[in-house]
Amino acid sequence: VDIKSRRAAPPHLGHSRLVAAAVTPGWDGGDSDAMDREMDASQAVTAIYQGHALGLTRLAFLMLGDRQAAEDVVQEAFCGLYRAWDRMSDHIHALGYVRASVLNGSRSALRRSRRVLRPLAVPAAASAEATVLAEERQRETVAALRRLPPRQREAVVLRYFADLPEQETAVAMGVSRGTVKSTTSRALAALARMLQEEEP
Amino acid sequence: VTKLEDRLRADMKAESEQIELGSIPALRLPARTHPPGRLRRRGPRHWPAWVTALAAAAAVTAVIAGTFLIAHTVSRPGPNPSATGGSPPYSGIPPFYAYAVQGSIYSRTVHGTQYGDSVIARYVKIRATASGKVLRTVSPPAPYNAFESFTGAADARTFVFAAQWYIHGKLDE
Repeated sequence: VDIKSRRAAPPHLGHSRLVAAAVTPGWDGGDSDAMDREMDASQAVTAIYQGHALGLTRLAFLMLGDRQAAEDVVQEAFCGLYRAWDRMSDHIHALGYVRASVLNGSRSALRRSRRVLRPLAVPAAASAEATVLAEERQRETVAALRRLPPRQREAVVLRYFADLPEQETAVAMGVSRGTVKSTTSRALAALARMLQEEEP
Repeated sequence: VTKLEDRLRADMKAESEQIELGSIPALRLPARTHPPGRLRRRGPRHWPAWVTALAAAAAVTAVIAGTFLIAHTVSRPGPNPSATGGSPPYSGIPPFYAYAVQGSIYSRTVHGTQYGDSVIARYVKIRATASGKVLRTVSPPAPYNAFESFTGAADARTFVFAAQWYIHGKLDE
């Protein structure tokens, strides 16, 4: 299925925030049985992909620092969701499942490649001094983010990029809510030191 | 919300926007080889109970058969005391003895490096008591790769072995 040919009324496309709710009109979890009857796994997974591929790819990109690797991780996560579709007891958790798969895939990709994350090249600076300064600041932030240990980076990306609450972050990372709190706190302290910002 | 948190949100959003909406590739789902609604479940396979019982019985039968085969193989040529050092110098001492030899079993590959596990009884050697000469080295028959136990009969000519299949971290006897 080509996403480009199915772009009629795409829900949440273009928005980086991950939303654990409706991705298909009428699918809010309350009538998931009806959706099951009407859509086979392929259609359902494709609909979720259309709604969330962009946000998940951006998330994986922040984790990996590599566009191609991020796209591969997201593809594989959705293939995993497709394979698991028929044995999932409640498809309302599909997005949580695929988000956790993306994180797992990112961890595996980092382990495999032992990738040294480097800030990607920011496009050539515009003439305005303010733009140059903003890009320099962004470069510093991303470089600091990529110096964090993977679990701390995950916590920061999920909390401040995906805007997930602590509980959903915990589910995605497969840890307790307390661990999310402590990991995020350590990450923020480290980032504050690296960026010479005031600690939260 | 602190200044740092604001900065993280803004900069991560800006960085991530290098991935643009139109650049996301199409989803490529694997082909299904079965009719919808009858998806074979992946992951841990749950065999019917009778298959487990049948496999256990088959394994026991295989071990017994292997044991007899080895015993037969070892005892048939029958190392001859006169040919392997003559009569033992001490009466009452068996003319042959067997002992286990520790060995390594290839078990797994991690990051391209092969690792092995050491097992206590990878082989069994049989020597003549009088001369110490190795008369036979016995390996477990396939698919087994280690001995679990062995013993010699009173005539010191017949040895009985029990083989096992060692997998990393567990034994399948």
